[in-house]
Amino acid sequence: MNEQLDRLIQDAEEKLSIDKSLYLYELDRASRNIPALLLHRRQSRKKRLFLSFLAPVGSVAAVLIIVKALFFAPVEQTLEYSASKQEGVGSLMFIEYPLLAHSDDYEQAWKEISAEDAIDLDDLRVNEMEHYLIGSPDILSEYILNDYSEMSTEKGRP
Amino acid sequence: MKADHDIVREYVSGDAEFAASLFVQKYRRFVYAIALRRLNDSDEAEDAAQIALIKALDGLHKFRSDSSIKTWIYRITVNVCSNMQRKKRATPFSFFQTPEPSVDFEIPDVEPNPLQQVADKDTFAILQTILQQLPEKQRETFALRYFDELTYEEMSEILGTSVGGLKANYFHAIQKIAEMLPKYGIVGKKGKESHE
Repeated sequence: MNEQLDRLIQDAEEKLSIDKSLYLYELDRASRNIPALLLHRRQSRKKRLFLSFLAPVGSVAAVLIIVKALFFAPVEQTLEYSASKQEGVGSLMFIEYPLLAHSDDYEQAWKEISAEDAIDLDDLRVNEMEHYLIGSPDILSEYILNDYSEMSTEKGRP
Repeated sequence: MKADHDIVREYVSGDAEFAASLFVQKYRRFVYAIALRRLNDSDEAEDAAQIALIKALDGLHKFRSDSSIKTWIYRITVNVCSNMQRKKRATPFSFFQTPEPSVDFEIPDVEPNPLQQVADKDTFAILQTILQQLPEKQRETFALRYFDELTYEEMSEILGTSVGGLKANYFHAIQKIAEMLPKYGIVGKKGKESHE
């Protein structure tokens, strides 16, 4: 039965006049622009995925910034105040060490700030120093050239 | 052309982009042809082919070689087409709806003029038209066997029909196509022989 069907199919195929290569060629031609569209779509998809990832990250970052502004600002001010009061150099702000400034262990934080600054800032000019310390340039120059190393190693404790 | 398992290996642990382009290059025609037969619209078929290929690429790392990629990608494409058709049916009519894109392979209402249909560039459209007039099972069986040259075993896995049933479907499809071809200006070998 199956063999008979195979024979019938073979006969029918032989009599069928279809330009198979033309049909396949046309299909190939029609589908040729799919890779380009596919690439575009994949890129858009990646972009969408990236944006969908970025949105919650951005929200969390915004919340953290608000929390920081609300709860950590007073701590920073306390440290600035104690530093300026003790050294008499006006208002100084250690902008490079915001996280240490937020630490509850002020003494340890101050030690770390001072020790690192003493090493790094020895060779810096005054205007470069201003990048690290915000205050009056005159006081700063004096402070850096004369007192800073001493303050940072010995007296720089709040 | 690289073998399927080489492409999958390259995609999983080698140059994924390169493997993806090989994969698309190898299967774009196959996927597009399935979509075109199902949707009968070249633009929609292009969309469906894209979606199916993206889905296939996204799941390629999970592909198990216990079945062939052709079988797997066929199922993905059929599912994508079914979803598209379902969404299309679910879309309510709107006055602001844009007109349907031109259908390249429209089934004619009247008998075609044979003289107009014999040009080579129209042969593809004629074949597409003829295929659309076959019952779905016969159409798929014929296309997969005749154009894609799948084995009956592969087709059986894809279509869920016995090999014997497929052979019967295929034979009926050939007979119907052979009958329809002269109406569209394509004279079969049988016809030629009888004229000679």
